Amino acid sequence: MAAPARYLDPAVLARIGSLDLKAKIVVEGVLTGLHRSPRRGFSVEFAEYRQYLPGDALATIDWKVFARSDRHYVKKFEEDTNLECHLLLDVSGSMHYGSRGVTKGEYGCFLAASLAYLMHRQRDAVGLIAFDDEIVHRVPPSARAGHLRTLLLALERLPAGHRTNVAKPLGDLAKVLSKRGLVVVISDLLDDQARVIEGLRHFRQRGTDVIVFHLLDQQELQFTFADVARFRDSESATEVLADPSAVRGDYLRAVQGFVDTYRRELGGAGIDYHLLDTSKPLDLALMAYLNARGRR
Amino acid sequence: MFGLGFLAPAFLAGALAVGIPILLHLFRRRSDRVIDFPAAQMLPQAPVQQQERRRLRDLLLLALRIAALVLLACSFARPYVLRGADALKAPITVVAVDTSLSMSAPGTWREAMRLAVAAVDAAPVADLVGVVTFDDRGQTGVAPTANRAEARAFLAALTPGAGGTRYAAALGASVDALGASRGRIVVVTDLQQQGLAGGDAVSVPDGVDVSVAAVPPAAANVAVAAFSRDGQGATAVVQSYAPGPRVVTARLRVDGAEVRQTRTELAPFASADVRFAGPLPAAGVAEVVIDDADGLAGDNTRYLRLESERPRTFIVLTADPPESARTGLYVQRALEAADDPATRVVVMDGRRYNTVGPGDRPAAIFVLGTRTLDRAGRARLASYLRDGGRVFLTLGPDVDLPSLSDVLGMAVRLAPEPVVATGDEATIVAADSRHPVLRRLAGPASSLGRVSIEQYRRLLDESGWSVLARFAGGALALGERQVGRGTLLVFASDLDNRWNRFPVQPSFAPFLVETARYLTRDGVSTSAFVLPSVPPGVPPVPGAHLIAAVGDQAARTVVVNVNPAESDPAVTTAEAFTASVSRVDDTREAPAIEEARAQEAQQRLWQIGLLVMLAVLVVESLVGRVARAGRSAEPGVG
Repeated sequence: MAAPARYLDPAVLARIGSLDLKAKIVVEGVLTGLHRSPRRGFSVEFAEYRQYLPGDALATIDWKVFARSDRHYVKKFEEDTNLECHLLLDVSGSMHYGSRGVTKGEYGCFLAASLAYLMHRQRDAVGLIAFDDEIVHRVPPSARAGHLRTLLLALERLPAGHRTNVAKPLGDLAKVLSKRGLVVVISDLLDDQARVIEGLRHFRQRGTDVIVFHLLDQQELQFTFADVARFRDSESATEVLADPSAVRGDYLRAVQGFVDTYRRELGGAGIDYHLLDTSKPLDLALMAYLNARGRR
Repeated sequence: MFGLGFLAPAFLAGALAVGIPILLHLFRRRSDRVIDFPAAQMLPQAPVQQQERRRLRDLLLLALRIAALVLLACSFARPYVLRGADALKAPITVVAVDTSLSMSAPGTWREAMRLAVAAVDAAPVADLVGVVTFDDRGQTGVAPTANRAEARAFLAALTPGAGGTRYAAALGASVDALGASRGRIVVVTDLQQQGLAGGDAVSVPDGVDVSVAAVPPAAANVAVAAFSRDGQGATAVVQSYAPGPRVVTARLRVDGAEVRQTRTELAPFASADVRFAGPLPAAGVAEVVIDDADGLAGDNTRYLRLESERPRTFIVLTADPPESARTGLYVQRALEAADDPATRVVVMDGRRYNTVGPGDRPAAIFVLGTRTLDRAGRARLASYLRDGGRVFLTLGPDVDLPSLSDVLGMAVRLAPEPVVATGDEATIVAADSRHPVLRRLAGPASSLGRVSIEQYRRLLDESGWSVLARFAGGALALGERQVGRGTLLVFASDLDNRWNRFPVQPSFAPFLVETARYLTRDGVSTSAFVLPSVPPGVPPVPGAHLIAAVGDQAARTVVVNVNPAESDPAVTTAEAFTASVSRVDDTREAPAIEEARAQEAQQRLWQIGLLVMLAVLVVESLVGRVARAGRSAEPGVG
């Protein structure tokens, strides 16, 4: 099964035009590798009757129908959702950075689309909230048949944001979201760490499960620049003149501390935290989601 | 360059590739490059502490990469260290000064010296300067030197002579003075037309610049063109090269004492016979002198030896009597074409030669056949050659090979059967085009290359022979060697129109006339000479000269006169002169190239260069690795 695995590579996905096709490829590629369905055990609703066939479980025979018609009919059920999921996607300026062709924003879109596809397939209600320093677009959660297309279309047409303020939209959302469900945050979290953590804790305090996908580019994680240059943060417009060979160690320690802080604080608050390198395949993220979903 | 030479200097162009690392270095050195980096807030605000160290390291890497490229290019260019004179090789300016008779006109010589000194002074600073003088012959006056004062001093002491003008001699001597060096030739001359009349091949290698510094010729001239005696007196021919009528007084002197005088009127550019009637002494030297203050002084006098000249005899020796086989006819006619009254050509077969008395010593013998020579005849011919005689031997069908060694008094190894020439093999190629016999035949107009040879004999051992010409197949065609005190010339085919068509070619008569002139060049049997031909021991100066007794030759007086053609002041143009100079591929450097190859093969610097380049690359790799290790020591955030 080399072909599906190959399509999980972000660089390959970037060359596929349709976002729904990308999502389908990612999800089917992941599910192909699983041995048991993650959907088993969820609530179901009636779908159809059909005649009993030898081998069908006796428990599935509808005895009321048998009493009325004297025929054995098997009652088929369809899975139903009991989960409302919100995908919170960061579209701020820092998400437009990508050193290997795929930006963090594009990677986040792939990930959001794949999660939406997967959730929709599981009959979970899924919604989308895009934000930078405020909410720029919102698609309410739904499990309707055409909702996935609406959501993917919204992902494809997301406007480019500016400054990041993760804490503020999180706080706003925590107040708005009434129903307990699942919140998936997709962001580079390049913001005030304390406020971000505080915002995420609000969800947990309201009983909402939170999964954080922390997207960082490979250069942000490894910092392999060679030459002296001015490094500019496009959001704050601040520039730092640095010799990479001289500052690399300090920088990597700072990033490690940054990540460790999120991992420690969010883990302590019962929030799933996953650091994703945007040069790595998406299956890691999907597996993380499925594990979290399986615990519910 | 820096004492280094290169066998393949074109590869040095590869060194231009050093521009690539330099450009890359300059491009990467830009420190104002701005990189968008969202996590910039996490970069420490530390100063760029290692910038200088890194810059030095980059410069070291750049230097190493440039050195590697330069070493690679130099190694492919096959370098070698110049040794000795090669290291001092510099361009040369050769000033060739015309010292012929025509330069002695009033005012001409002074202007010539001014131009010559100016040419020395105007030579580029880096050039060596040499001085060549020429008339009929060219010779180096000052070998190329950086001491220009020496050249000026030589010019200050220089005076015009009485010789003719020959530009081929000037350029030949100048090219010799240049050697294998680059340079230019400045010819200081009056551009006398006579200098180009010889039909000599004037060839200068490509890349040698030839320019002319022209001086004004004589405006007018009157010369004694000829002087001869007869039974009733003597007659002089006086030639005017003046644009107006002239009246000249001609004086006849005998042994220095004036005996007669007469006045003659001359029309413009016309000649007149001046008759001196009355008996003259049977012996002594007569001279005719005219007064011509405006023209050349050297041609105002002509000398005549009053003793009757014993004619010189050329024997054409054939195998069969000329009356029956008509052999020797072509050679006889060619020798008589010189139209020299003092020359007699006798054709005789071997049987008759056996009876020729010892008193009839010929000036030269042209041997076309030896088949009928008996033992006495062979011994006589060998004795004649050994005692200073001149023999021109053809190896045609009438030569008896088994007895040839007896004829010549020396061993000659020949292939027993003649070679039948085919295709390109059948032409003659001059090997020494400056030899007097071939000098006038090497030009394109009378090229020996047009002679088609059908058969010839192959000389198996060429040791001791000077090769003057070869057949295109490589065998000797015309060779010369000394036998005792005599001179032997050998032509390896025949001259009776049987093995080739040479006798019916236009170059045949000039060839034989020049050969006869060369063989009798020391003038054993003549007493009157025209410059530049003078016998050994006689200076090339017009007048009467006494030759001391040598061996069985008694002391005698000879007279030397100027070449009457030199009296004509007609000139050509600098453009015509330049156009007459043919260019040839520069082969002067061939020996130098061979020497350079030998040096390069001995030194093998290219191997050292490649080894050093590899070492430089190893160092560059180590330095680069250290630099990269400094950048990637931390594993990154996982």
